[in-house]
Amino acid sequence: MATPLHDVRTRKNGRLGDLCVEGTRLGRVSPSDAVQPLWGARCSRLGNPVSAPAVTSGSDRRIALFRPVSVTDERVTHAFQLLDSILWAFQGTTRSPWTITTPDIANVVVVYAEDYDERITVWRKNGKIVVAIATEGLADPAVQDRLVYPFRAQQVLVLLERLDAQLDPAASSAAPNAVSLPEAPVDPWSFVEALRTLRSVQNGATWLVGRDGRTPVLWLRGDAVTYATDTATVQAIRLGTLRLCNVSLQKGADPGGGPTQRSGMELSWFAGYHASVKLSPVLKPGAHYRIAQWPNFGLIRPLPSQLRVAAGLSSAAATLEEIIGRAKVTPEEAIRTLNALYACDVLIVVESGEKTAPAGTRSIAQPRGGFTSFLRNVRKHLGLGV
Amino acid sequence: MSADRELKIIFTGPMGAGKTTAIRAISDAPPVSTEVANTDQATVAKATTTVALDYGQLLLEDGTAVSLYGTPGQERFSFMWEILCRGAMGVILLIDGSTPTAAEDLRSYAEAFRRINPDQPFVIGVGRAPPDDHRLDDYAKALSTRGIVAPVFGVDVRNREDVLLLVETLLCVLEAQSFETDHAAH
Repeated sequence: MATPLHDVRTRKNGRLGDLCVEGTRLGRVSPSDAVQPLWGARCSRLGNPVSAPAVTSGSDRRIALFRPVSVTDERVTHAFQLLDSILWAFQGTTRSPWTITTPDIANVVVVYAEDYDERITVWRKNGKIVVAIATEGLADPAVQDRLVYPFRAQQVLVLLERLDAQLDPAASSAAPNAVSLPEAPVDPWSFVEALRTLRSVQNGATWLVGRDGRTPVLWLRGDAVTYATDTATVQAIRLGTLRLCNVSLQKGADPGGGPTQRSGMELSWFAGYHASVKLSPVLKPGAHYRIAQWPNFGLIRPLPSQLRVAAGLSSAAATLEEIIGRAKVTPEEAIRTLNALYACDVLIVVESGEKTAPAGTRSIAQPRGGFTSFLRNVRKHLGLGV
Repeated sequence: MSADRELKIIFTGPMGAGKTTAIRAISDAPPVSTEVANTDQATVAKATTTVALDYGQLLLEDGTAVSLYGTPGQERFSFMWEILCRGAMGVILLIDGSTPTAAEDLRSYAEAFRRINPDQPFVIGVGRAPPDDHRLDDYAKALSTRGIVAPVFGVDVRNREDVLLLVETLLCVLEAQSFETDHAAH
């Protein structure tokens, strides 16, 4: 049975997924957390390498996760699960050891930002540090003691070390470099995943502003069906000269009557195509893929290689290696096109052994000399790229 | 040459979708058309319409001829579709995206031609709509739910480049199918 990639990303036989930080098995992160697409393009996937600080040497620290009782938003549940897993994973790598405990004896209590339980006020009054988890808004480094889901492992690590220093100022001055971690590399897939998330959320009533640094470069409707930008930026997106993974998305006003609105599929295609020369982490070289739907190539204006990969995946399911042979393209062209098809949500995985039977050409009049030379001659005649 | 041994590409679609224009854009010689005065102005306001077929040709340098057939647009001539499609390399379906019946036209033509030959490469061009028209995505999805995975592109058939995109897509699908047929045979 063909499976949409949304499902494939979270299935993993129902087991908890594993995450790696510089080759270290972290574990205990649920698959849905591990692959949770990201709102902020700068929020990278958890699988990114995260530099670990010095080994544990400080005082014992106690942290409590105060989960809200009746919250229907499952992102809140995921956020607490994610933090729980990250805390477990960082055991032995933080400057001071952190133990999960109850709020009463904890130094730090993590709460949901919109939880108005009276005990939270009491804990604050009693001098406990209260960290809030939010599911909306931005991860603003200027706002301390706040995590915006989905958050990166590195953000948690930085937070823990800062809290540790806050709990013990002397230790902080003794080990000033404990929290100065090298910045994690930008996840090349962050923008693609943000687009996929927006499409699945389908909130067409809002608009997001995409900024490269402080400069707004595009406006994206909340369901990612439409985006708007100027002609020069469109060209930069199509050529891949604008690194979309560096673009952060924030809620904002609609573009008004300014730049022309364009299809979000165009944005998705080029974001995916230019994201990386490596296969998306979600895709597997040995898996069989086919397309459930063609992208609108009238808009995209594909390269011949892109067209051949799409055609190859429409005739029958194929692995990466198979599509390279079938479409007669280089591995990089195949990988990039697969990535683009994935970004457009048109790629589906076909279970091994259930490969779709390829349509044959036997019912078609056979040209003299065979199809290969015939097609070459037609292309040459029409001036099409070979 | 018998009809089913002829190397040919079929252009089909409702009246006024641009079949004659598309063939004219790539044919080596001006297409032969069987156009008459359009008496169905209520459906499409154009002076003439094709009642039998349009015919164009690509003459390759090795002497091979590829025929380009445009089917008559009116559904009452649909009996000709099956005859023309027999042995064809593929079908290019053109839809007028500016009409309120565009989605329904697309569905009925796509289903009709899939019935005639389910394995025949099949490419859809939607004209008179902005290339980034969001409906194109909906059209492709609607076909997909009916088990028809076919390219649906926004095109302007007055541009030769756009017609070539449809033809090139057809060739690519044909090439992929041919590759699979060859490999299955070995």
